[in-house]
Amino acid sequence: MSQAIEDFGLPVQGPISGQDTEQVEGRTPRQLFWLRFRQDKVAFVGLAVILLLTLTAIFAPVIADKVAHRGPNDQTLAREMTDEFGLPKGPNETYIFGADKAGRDLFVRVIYGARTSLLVAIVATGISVVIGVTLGMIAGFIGGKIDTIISRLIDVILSLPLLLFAIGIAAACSTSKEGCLGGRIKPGLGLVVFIIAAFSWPYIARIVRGNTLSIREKEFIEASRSLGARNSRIMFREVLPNLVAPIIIYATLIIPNNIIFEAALSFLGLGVPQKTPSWGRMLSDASRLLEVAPWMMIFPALFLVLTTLAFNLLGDGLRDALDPRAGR
Amino acid sequence: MSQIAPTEPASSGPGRRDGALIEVRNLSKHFPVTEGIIFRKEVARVQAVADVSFTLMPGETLGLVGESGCGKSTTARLITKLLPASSGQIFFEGRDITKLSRRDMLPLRREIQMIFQDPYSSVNPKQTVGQIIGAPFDIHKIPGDQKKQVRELMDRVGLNPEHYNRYPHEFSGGQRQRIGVARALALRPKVIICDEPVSALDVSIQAQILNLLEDLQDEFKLTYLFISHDLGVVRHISDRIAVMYLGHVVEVAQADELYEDPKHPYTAALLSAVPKAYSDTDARERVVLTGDVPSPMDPPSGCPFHPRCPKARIVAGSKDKVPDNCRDVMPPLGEVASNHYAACWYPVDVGEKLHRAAHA
Ligand SMILES: Nc1ncnc2c1ncn2[C@@H]1O[C@H](COP(=O)(O)OP(=O)(O)OP(=O)(O)O)[C@@H](O)[C@H]1O
Ligand code: SF4
Ligand SMILES: [Mg+2]
Repeated sequence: MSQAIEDFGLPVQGPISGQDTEQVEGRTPRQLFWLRFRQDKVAFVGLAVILLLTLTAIFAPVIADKVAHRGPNDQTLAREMTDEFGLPKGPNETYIFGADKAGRDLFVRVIYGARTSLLVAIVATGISVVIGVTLGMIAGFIGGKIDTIISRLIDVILSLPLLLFAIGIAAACSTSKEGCLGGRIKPGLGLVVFIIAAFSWPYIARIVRGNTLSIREKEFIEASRSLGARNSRIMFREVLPNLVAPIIIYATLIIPNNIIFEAALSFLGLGVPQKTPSWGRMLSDASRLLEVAPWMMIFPALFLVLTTLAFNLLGDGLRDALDPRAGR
Repeated sequence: MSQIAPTEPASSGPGRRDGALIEVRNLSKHFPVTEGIIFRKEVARVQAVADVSFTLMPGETLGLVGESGCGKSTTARLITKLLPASSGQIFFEGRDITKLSRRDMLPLRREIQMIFQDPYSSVNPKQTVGQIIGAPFDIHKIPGDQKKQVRELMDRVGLNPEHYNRYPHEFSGGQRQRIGVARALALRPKVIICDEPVSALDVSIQAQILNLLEDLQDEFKLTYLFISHDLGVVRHISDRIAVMYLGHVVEVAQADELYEDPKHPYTAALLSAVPKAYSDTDARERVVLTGDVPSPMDPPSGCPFHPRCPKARIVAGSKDKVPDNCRDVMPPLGEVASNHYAACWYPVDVGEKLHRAAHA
């Protein structure tokens, strides 16, 4: 302190003394993120696997057509690919992953399954991010009664026996063609996405609320307010940019949960419709023939594990690179 | 000043002056302490600011000093209307702004700005310097070349205008504080409330920022309310100083007079703790205050300083006794010398030694 007072009052040092102007390095947060992320080999592998899977999913029809020369429900070779007892044959030159019990090409079904898995998980995650960010930010920023209501809702949903409820809804709405609630909810992909989103937004909302609460106390929020900014400006310009990192991290981390969720519903026969190839349904089919046709289990399971693992690795890597201070 | 309400008590005080830029009258703020999750019940209240009155004259710097938790920041937030007052009034150029809505307050925001204490928390880490300093122009829809205006401001506060697109993490604490200064200066306000603008900085940087603030004051005819817990810093920048204790303003005087002739025992005790080289009086003996600052949740009766006051003990003639009026009646902030106000029943005499009482 003493030194400050001595220096102070001496007009020799103008305000533009460059003393602390030099050690500035010109790196944007994005560049810093990339520098850190680049060094994370494991996360990179995760990212590569996800990209590969995504490409596979997008181009599944092309691959099926050009490589395997058949579609996911194609049974033209069913006679050749099943034995005299109707049991499927294992991997060979024509069916590299083997056949399923209807004599369909498992490889084609697995890559089509990637489509279903990724589509359902990503769309459901997208919806839950939108709901979660909106409600989490409102709860954290506005507080009071609104916060109490939203927070209790989050608690209630997170404490529900999730799978049981999902099964209940799916069973009520999927068993008949008309759906439930007087036909307002129809069975199919949309219903699965809806159920998954309904149960996963609270995770995002909780994280967003917590982060918003701590950002709200920062002086830059007061600074903005003292300039006369409206709440909407403060939420979108001041708070939201600080939420981007946690949102990306947690969205990446709930995608694998949602993939498993979809697989579980489909495994129970309550997920995507019959004809749509799904890893969960393939596993369910395989479970009855595990002894005689283990490949029916191995390939979908391998893809399922690989996909969820890749997303988890990427999520962890993103967390380390985006938010290096948040220890684990 | 026709707006002065008839409810105004007749007492004279530092809260009445014609031509004041900002006038704060009997301002109070308490925070409820609540219990219960769904049905909140107020179980206690923190009296953060209690019946504070003062004026801020155009062009002056009023220092506001006091220990941590005495209500300095709360006072600043009340004046800038970041917090609603529990009671009392705030006048800006004679106009009562206490109850103005956000919309009605908007034009006045251009006149009253604030610089914050923590240079790390006061700038958004996800915005570029250009966005941060440009925000006031956006919010108030100021026409013209914003980038040019921001660059001029950056240059004026000693930042390199080339760094327009950089993010705060690339800057040092002192430079970040300059960003905060530029943002406060952007709308050319009349008053800037500086809430401990240098407390978080290295001593070597403090002087630079203080110099900058002084230069800007001269150039833009600014009025400052300068908050600090550091008597050394406040003395050099302030024309007048107000001392706060437990939410109350206990003494207001010209800066030199306050340092040379403190009237309130609390001020005298604070000053005695300032190293000698920076206080003019020679041989000032240190007054060691006994006990902790009482909790603002449970403030003492009468004079808020009475549980620790050495002067009261001298008057009572015993280490464990204080006069009745000190214990029971809150002393008003009265004029004890010309333009020198103190809230004390027994103001300190010139040269009076208080340290003996503390050790008697
Ligand atoms: N939002 C709040 N809710 C409850 N109590 C608060 C709140 N803000 C401040 N207080 C209390 O009010 C009192 C005054 O706080 P204030 O921040 O104004 O003190 P200060 O003089 O600025 O202290 P410092 O030097 O630590 O910044 C403190 O006891 C504090 O705990
Ligand atoms: S009024 Fe009494 S207790 Fe309060 S400061 Fe003065 S002498 Fe001390
Ligand atoms: Mg403070």
